[in-house]
Amino acid sequence: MDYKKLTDEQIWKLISMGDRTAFGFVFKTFVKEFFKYGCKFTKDKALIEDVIQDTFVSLWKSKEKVKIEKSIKFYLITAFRRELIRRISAERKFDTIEDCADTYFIEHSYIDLLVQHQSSIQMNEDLTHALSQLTARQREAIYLKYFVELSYEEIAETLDMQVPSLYNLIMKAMKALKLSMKNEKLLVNLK
Amino acid sequence: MKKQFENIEDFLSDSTFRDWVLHEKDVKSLYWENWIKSNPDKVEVLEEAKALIWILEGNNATLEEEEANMLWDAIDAQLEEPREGESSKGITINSSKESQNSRFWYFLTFPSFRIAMILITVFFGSIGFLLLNGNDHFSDQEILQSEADFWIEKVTQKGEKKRIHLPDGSKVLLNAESTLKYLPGFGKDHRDLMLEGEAYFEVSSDTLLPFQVQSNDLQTVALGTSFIISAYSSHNTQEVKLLTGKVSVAHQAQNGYLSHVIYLNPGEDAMLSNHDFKKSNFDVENALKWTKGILHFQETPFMEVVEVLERWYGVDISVSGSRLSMSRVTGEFKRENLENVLKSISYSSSFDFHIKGKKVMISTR
Repeated sequence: MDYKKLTDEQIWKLISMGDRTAFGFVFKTFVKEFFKYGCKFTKDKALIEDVIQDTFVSLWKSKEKVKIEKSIKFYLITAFRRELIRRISAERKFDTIEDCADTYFIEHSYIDLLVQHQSSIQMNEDLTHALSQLTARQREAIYLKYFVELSYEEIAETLDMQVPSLYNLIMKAMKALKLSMKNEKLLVNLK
Repeated sequence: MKKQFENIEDFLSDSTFRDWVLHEKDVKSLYWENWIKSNPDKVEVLEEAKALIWILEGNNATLEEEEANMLWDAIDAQLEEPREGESSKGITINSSKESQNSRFWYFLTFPSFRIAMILITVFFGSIGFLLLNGNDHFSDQEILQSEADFWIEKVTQKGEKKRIHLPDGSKVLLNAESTLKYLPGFGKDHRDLMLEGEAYFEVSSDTLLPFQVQSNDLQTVALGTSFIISAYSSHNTQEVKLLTGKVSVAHQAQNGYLSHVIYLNPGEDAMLSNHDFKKSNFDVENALKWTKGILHFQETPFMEVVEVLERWYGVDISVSGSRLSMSRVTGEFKRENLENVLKSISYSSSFDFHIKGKKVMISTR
């Protein structure tokens, strides 16, 4: 069966009747994206995989009860996010100081990036500064909007805020980023 | 209709563009290269969008196809329906136990507990035994069943490794063909584990509850440390290698008494081999290699290499020709497939091999 042609509602119907192949299709469609998203919260890849596993298994277990009409992805990613944050906070109690340093939606990715692309991006202090000025929430909102491709309504629900203020938040963040980029003429040697 | 790309957001929200920037799929590269040629006026915006994607995506951590497949296998294995339905049909249980059982299963549905775990607390167990003593129609098998149900069990097959997060925050990497089990209440009332096979432990510190691992004839006690225990029952030697912290390792004799205790410092290992229990030093870097997916052999006897490969790749290897068993292998392989590993070993050890599904035949050249 070509699951790609089905709507979320139809796929969910199959899953709730016990169709493991359909469930596998959903997993394969989203797993890489979820993993990347998880990497924004922690460096502990084993933990991310663990939480992905738990998220899918527990959805399967409650497949008869859960009703999904619109977006399976949205359901899964919010469950994934919730559990991941819970587990990170639970672990943090035991972790070494080193691990405690990173917060949700950590900035380490930017540092890694700077190292990685140093030769190609002439990223200077102002832009780095602009990035660090964004709140974790702003970064996450932009990520959810453009990379995970959730709707404003879905992001608002995930981050527990109102749609208009979310809209505002994203606009401001994008503006700040664009501005610093314009200022610094980042276009050198991008290729 | 052709998609319009006017501002940064238009680029950002296009998944083919993102894939192209992050080099995830080569397929579209031609498209975007042509696009740039025919839209020279938009290049500036495009480059800005490109930079932004790099910035936002940050570290290029990705889940490899193979890792995704392994993760799915692990999930798929847990999608079996729970077994409680069957067992309550087969055995007559009084109502109080039944209700406790169902509450117990509810507890299992919490995401942090795996469906594969089967556990009943000691309390339920003792009820079970009282019942069993009074009712003749319970068979021995059912008694065994309920005993086995106490344990929370993590099992790896050949060719498989598993990362385990214990309830106390400790982490375990379970090597292939190994079993780790513990009783409920781990992290609260106790930190006792049973291990068969091999595992790497990173123990969360907890000064009140000692972290104890029972493996065959060795008992290892730690208070916040990392170490490796190797206790495959097919091996003659059992080992505990300490990386950080401090542990004590006790040898448990057949009669159950702890005969001898060794205290380890980092870089030291305790080895039990044919009733000889002693302390020595080991190479930390080499010892950790398997936890990083690296196969490492150093003057390793050929038959031991065969055993490691069987476990690592989940295959059966048959060896013909006695000369081979005398040879030794040195080499290191990082995430190589079996064929490549065998190929490079076969140069130095000179043998021919043939892989057919899960069976491997090795013969003297």
